[in-house]
Amino acid sequence: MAKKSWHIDRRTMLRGTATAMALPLLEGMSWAKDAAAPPKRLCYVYIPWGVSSAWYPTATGKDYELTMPLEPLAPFKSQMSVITGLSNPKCRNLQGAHGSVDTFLTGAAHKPPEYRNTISVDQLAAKYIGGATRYSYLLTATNGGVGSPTRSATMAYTEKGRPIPTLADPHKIFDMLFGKVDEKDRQRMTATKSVLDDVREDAKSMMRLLGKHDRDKFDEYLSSVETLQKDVQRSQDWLNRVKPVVLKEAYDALDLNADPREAPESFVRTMFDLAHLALQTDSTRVVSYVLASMQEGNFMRLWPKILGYTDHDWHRFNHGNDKETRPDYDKFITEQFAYFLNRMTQTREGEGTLLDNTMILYGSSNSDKPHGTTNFPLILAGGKNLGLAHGSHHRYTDDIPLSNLHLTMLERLGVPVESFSDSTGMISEVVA
Amino acid sequence: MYKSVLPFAAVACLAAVATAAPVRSLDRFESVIKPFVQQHCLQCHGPEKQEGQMRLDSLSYDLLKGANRENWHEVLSALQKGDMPPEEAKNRPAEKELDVVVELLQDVFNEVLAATESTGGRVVLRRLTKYEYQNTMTDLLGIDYDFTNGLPADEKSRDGFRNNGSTMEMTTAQLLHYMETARDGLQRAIVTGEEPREMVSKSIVSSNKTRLKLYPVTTNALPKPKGRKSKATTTETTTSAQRNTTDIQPGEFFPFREGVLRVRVKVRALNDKVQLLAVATGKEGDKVNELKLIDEVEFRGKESQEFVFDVQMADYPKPVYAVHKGAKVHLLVQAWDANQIRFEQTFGMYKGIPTSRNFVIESLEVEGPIVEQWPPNSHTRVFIPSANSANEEVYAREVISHFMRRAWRRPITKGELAESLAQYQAGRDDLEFVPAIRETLVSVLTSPNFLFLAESARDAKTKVPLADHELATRLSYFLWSTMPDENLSRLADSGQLRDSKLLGGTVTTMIKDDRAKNFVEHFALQWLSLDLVESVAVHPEYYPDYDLRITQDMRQETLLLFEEILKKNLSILNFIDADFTYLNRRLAKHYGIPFPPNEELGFVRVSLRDVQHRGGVLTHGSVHLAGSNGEDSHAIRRGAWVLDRLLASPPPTPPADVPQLDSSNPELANLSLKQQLALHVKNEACARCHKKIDPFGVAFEHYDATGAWRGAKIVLVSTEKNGANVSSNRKKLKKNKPKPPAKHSTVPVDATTQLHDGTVIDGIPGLKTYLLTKKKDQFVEGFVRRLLAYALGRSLELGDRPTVERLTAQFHKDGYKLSNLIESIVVSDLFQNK
Repeated sequence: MAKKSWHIDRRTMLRGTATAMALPLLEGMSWAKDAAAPPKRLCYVYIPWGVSSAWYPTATGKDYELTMPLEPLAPFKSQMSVITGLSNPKCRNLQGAHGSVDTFLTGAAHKPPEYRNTISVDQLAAKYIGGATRYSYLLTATNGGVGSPTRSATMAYTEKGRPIPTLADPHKIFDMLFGKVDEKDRQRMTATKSVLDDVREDAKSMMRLLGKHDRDKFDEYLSSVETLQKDVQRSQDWLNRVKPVVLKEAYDALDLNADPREAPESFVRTMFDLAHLALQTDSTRVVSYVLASMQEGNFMRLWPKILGYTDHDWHRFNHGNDKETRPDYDKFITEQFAYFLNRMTQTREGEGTLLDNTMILYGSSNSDKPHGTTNFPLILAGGKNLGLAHGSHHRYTDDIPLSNLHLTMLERLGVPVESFSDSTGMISEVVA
Repeated sequence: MYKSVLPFAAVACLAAVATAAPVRSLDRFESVIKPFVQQHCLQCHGPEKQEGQMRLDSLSYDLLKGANRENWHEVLSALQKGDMPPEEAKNRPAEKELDVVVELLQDVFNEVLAATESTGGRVVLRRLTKYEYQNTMTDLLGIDYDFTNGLPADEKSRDGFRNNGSTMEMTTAQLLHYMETARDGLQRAIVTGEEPREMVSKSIVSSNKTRLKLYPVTTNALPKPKGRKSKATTTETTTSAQRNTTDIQPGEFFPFREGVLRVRVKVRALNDKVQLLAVATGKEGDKVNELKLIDEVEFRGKESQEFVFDVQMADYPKPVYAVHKGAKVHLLVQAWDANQIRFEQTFGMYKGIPTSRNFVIESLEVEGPIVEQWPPNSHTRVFIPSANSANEEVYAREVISHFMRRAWRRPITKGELAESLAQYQAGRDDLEFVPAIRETLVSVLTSPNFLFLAESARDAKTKVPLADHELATRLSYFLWSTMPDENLSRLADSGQLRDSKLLGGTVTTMIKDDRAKNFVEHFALQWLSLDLVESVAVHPEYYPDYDLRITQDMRQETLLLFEEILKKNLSILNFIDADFTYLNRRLAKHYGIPFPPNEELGFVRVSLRDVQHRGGVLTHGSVHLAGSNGEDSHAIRRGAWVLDRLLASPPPTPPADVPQLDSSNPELANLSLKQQLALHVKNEACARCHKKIDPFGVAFEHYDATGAWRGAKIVLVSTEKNGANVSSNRKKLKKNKPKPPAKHSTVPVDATTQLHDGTVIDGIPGLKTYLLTKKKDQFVEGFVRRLLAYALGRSLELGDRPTVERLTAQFHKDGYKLSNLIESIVVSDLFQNK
């Protein structure tokens, strides 16, 4: 493979940036220099259209057996909990299942006609733990953007309940995280800064002409400008700090050209690789990945067909067509997650592994029933150093909101909130 | 300057009421109402119980300053409607006592209204909606481009509108989008360098085939697929129609990535049937079809006909996804017998390969990139022709001020221009002339002066007339959903827009203009909440033959009905019942309506005099689909839709803690709808609202989820066993295995229903009669309220009531003619003042 301009070896980097503030990062070096303990991280992985009934373990507690679709997770059984029965009680309208990526991390009563959403748990966490890294969060999806209400392509929502776009191009994500900063980036940043300065002046003049009610409303615009200015400032500061360099072996293992339309497995693994690298290099501490949105007509629907599990698309597969092969497909999806966990455990960090310092919530807001809006299939993995206790299958009743788990994870991160969304308490069973 | 007398007269009149009628009823308000409330209301709406989340003992009795004015108005409405106190209440007051209380409350509110008119009811500052932004950028820059790709959908207000300033949000991601899109758009609109001398590519193919695929030239950017030649001849399927496929080998066509590729196709049919010709780009392979439809046209006749398609090369799949494992990027030109295929989004484009072929593609010609003129119109819109174009400093000033004037929809102040010029000068130090101008214009397009419909000087104590250009902007976004054109701006410049004699004519001209289509689309869709069809997935097991294009056809039917009512200035009662509609062949088939045999192409106006079950929006598939869950009709949603959208009296949202009926319960599935709803009403928490909602929904029962007529409805019987007999090995599906037949049972449909007020109706004909007789006034006033809210871009308040009443009275006199109402709204005080 041709050497990319940003793929420079360490020696070159050292020479070229002799006056730069930081050394290029090797595995796990980012935080080690200025912190006593490894940072706490958070990660969410969403799978669409639920799972088959065969996914759910029957027994609960320590002695549960991994079902066939969960077998790939056997090596990590002691580092994860299977959690069933939770759901978002406020989102159980009839379109709630396929329209529920929107509320997986928010728990909002997201109903027609307004479809109002609320802040997602990852964004709330990013407010507290996102400040120390180059990026406050990294939001990824197989097809990016925001989608549309009930067919969201993102799990992340602002305080006002507005969607935040996800990134889908592995090249772009890699470039963002590790790409070389060149003159064009600087020029672009300068241009952006100049536009924002100018626009802020316009906004201030306009503010003077507005009545009180309008001023309150317009304040959103002004604060957006000011936030962006801060972001640009932050980016400019980070521009002068060298980005981490991905080691050759890691880079060579990356398939940034993976085509999600035809090689789902390669693509999903690439996205997991990028998530792993982002967390490992402490480029960010909050990562999410939407494996597929449930938008009609998107290409991810064809994955089970491309992979030979069914003649139908994913949605129909979920509706009970080719029931006998559905658990096999669930297992395929689980294998990808197991791949991610494996990478996370193979990265040593302090006394433990990267996984020990990262809480990962994996699952769906659809169940084993078509359009089912209760009994979410969930796996909580990692976070040992954050005080999570694992090894069991916990089953809850329909009235326990998923928000309780979100709240528990926030509490483990040290986010000082007493409730989240419709939470009614904590999920104490996963806490050591 | 301001010549229209009506608004001033209205304000003056209300002011007179306020001063001439000192707080007479208001003085008695607390002394009369407090004991009444204590005796009759607090049992359910007091400290112990708060039914409907209403608590009356803690409300402030100060209606002029207090925060509870809206709550008291709710009390008034409940008493007026007779909803409260409930029939079953133990010591329900006598009707006489109720009358006294209601009358007093009405007087009180009239006094409050007069007192509040001067402060409330301002149009809230609002930004452009997503579609307004798209339209405005298109008009401003003159390029065909998706400016909103990645921009989130706008929030809907409680009354269903997306242009409501109070509900709109602004986020940093959005702001970033506006900035980057401005830069991107300007880069596309402005050209640099020399005019391309000639067409890069031009070719003609004679074929007499039904399907042609054109491969792009192989460049370094497009990885060369392995074994394409052999694949191309082996992957074709073997149906008779497809055997006539021709692949044109790579290396011949369109070696350019941007701009327009023009495709001319000559076709003729071999029989009298309607044929469908489609052009798509994308790729097809053994497993993957991902084609983007450029356009499709229907044709008929044995004479040779030519169709022209313009393909944006930017729509072509990107090189990174170019060619893998047998899927080939190409341009596809194909014809079918239109009756034999249907559209299926998931698996590429069309399903149902025709068994016979009755058409040929005679020839195909592609050329591009198409350059209509140089520099393109989009360039000269920014870099205007000028005698000073050689003098950089003067010309920069001209270009920037010209653009700002258009983008900000008003004359620019000296200070504003000076600021922009300063930015330009600062940029010019580092940048060439064109990029320096461009960056300045990026700021202009990211500025709140562009993104917001700003109306200045809002601190005045009394309402003042809009400035001329503010009025032009309001008008333009109301009726066109885009910026004012030159003509409208000129009228504003000369002060003629304020001339009430001319205003009516201007409105008429605007309605006749093609851009009024934007009003039709956006108002109609929001008023009737038809955008909900986008979030309904039609369930393929229930509707295996559903063609996804029907969703768009049904939407189109509603829009065309609306358009006729607008353009021919018909009565809005046609929305409830009309003896005509618009159908195309596909939709007529879906509805089971015979289609005029000689006019089979596109949508035609169809008389419904001899047709049963259709006429008016209550019979439109778009409404039925929006009120469904993709599997079956959703009576509650449809019932709520009647109350909310047609009668402007939305039912309250269900309390969060009320459980939904479990739709996956198989016993429930076998009950008739009425039996299911009966369960619903048994539950007291649900009953309070649902006895008003559900009966309306039952009336729609003869229309299935997709709007087709039915006598009985189908219920699928689940045969699933939970996770039994699952093999633990990953096994691949065996192809072509026989599929178990889905089990069905049917439940008869019964659409007779007793409404909350006791009226018994049978189906939609009964509902139409009911609405047109007993609820006509409510429908009409509701429509006025909704149209006014859309026109103003805000929710209506108490203070707007006199205007609504005046408009409604005028509307009655005008025979409910839509254009008349629009004109009345435009000249109303609320629209004219800020």
